[in-house]
Amino acid sequence: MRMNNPLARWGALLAGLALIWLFMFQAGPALTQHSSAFRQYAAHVDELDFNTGAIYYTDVEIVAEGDLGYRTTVEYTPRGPALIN
Amino acid sequence: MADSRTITPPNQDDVVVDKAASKLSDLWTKEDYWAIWLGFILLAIGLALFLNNRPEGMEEKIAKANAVIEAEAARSPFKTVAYYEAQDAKGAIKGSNMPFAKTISKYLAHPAGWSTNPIDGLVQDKAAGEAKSAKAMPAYEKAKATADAAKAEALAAEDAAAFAGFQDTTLNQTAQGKIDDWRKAKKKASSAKSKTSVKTFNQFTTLPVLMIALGLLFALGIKFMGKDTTGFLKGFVAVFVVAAISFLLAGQSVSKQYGIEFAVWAIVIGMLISNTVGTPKWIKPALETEFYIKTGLVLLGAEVLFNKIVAIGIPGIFVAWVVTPIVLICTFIFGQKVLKMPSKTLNMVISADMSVCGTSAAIATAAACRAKKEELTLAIGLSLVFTAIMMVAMPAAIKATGMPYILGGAWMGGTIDATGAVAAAGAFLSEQALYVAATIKMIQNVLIGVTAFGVAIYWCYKVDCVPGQKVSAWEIWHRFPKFVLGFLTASIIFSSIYGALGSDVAFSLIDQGVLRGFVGGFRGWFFCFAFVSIGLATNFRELAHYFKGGKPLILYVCGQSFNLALTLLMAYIMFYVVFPDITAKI
Repeated sequence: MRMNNPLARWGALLAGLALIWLFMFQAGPALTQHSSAFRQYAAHVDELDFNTGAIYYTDVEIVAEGDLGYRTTVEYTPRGPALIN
Repeated sequence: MADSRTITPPNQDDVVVDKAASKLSDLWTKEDYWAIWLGFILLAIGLALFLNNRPEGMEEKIAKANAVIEAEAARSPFKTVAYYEAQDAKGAIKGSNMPFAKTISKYLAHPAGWSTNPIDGLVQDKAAGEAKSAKAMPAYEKAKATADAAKAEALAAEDAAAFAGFQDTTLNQTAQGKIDDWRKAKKKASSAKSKTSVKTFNQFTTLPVLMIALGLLFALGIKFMGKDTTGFLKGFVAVFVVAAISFLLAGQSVSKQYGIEFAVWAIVIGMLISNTVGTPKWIKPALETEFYIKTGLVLLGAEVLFNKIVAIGIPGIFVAWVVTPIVLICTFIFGQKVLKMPSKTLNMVISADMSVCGTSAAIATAAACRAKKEELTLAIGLSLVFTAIMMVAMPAAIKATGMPYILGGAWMGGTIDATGAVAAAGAFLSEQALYVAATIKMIQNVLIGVTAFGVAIYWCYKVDCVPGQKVSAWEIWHRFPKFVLGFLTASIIFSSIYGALGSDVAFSLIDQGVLRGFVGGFRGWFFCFAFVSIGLATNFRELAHYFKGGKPLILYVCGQSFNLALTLLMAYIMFYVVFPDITAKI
């Protein structure tokens, strides 16, 4: 894959960087706007500032919230008065 | 991913022909052991810091919150406003909020989020922080007013239900609905509030400090292993800079919307350099992929807390721990018997990546079965594409079909690869869906420990030997990747400490202290260094060779389809047929 011409090599690097720019600022946002499901989802990610690429549960703060909520449900299950029919 | 054993040439690279051996000097000359020593040094420092600096009045606050939760659980058949507020108060007690922990976080921090100007992710002075805060204020005020109004409505509905002695089903359901609305509005208000705080940072001053500290840490192991320490330190500067750029790109808003993680950016940037201008020779001594991965995995072991499994109860355990191994094993067998995949390691890494939890499982499994770096790259690439599709399509499909959100949450938690994407997709449906999705994914995360151990044993016992060869226990020990022992030991130690502290105190000091405030930060950087090293040493052509015939894609699609069907079936049976009572209370 290595090119011999130094100019071609640097040109290829710049082209690669341009593709990243194109994705982040042109193609990515355009694709998001194209689908209503994606548009809604993207707005939700922006609003709650999700780290969607997090690879482990300790990288996502909201998972701790979910963990605490579920554990509290299991440990202190609401058992209030039963319905009397 | 090379190893210290002797393996036959590439055309027979699934077969080990000569015997491995262990020596006492391995303890200070081998990479696996150095990964353990470095990992354990960091874990010991983290434990010492967080267990000796507890948040003030922690036990009293927890006891007070639990008393309220207990009283409300006895009073009402559903979670009341007071129940949730006490739960939130308990969740706010975090070791990572201590001043010393905030200083550590400042130095371990990745570049922050940004939208159009990457410098925004690296530097923010007071004026810029205040301007950002002022811009976010109207949205926060609006969100707060909505949350306050929703709370008033929730309290009124709850009072009406209580006035009827919780005997009126309609009033109970109305109150639950209003409380759910309040929780959703409150979450939005909290998120909006966090954007109004004036934050100042300058990562041009903190990142060099971190680079020097981490460079010296790894250089210690490099020196004892007899490698070129000076060359390593020179090259490490470049590896660190590319890693920081990868985190910066992962923090960009569009990148986050698509769930493109730092690992992908690290590989992309690395490959872009290596396949165009070429990786400079002076960087190569720092491309210690395995050393970074293994040290990161020892740290990850501390985050594999077996206590978390108990927390979720039986329905979640069935979804996470019964379906996942079945899918993993069936996909591997399908790859071998039906697709006849030439590489067992690629087959296993894709199977684990798809069935367990994406990138983190791929890293652990690849290291355990000594997969090649191109195979790990390919598995992560597949996971990225399908995660981006599934995290948008699944919530949309769940809403469109009217599927109960708890069932949908369990389904997404068990099938979407990336943990962050699961949380975002779960929260997109409802708070209950988030609870279930996030917790099931967390339990799958814990499964990494068992998976890595099982794969390492299977490879030593079955795969890495010639047909018919008898392998003794001693031989298995010689061949066994030793860092896995460090990974498991860290998991057992941290799980034991977690259990001894009790779930609430452990949540504040371990989960929200040592792990999120210390260990996770180091682990993220180490994995990023590994992926930068992979990218800088990978050739596009070699990568394309592994994708020949599209078998990896077919394997992923077939395995994920089976995963989707089986997870949905199991989630329905567990949450709606066997344990409907638990589901109703979530």
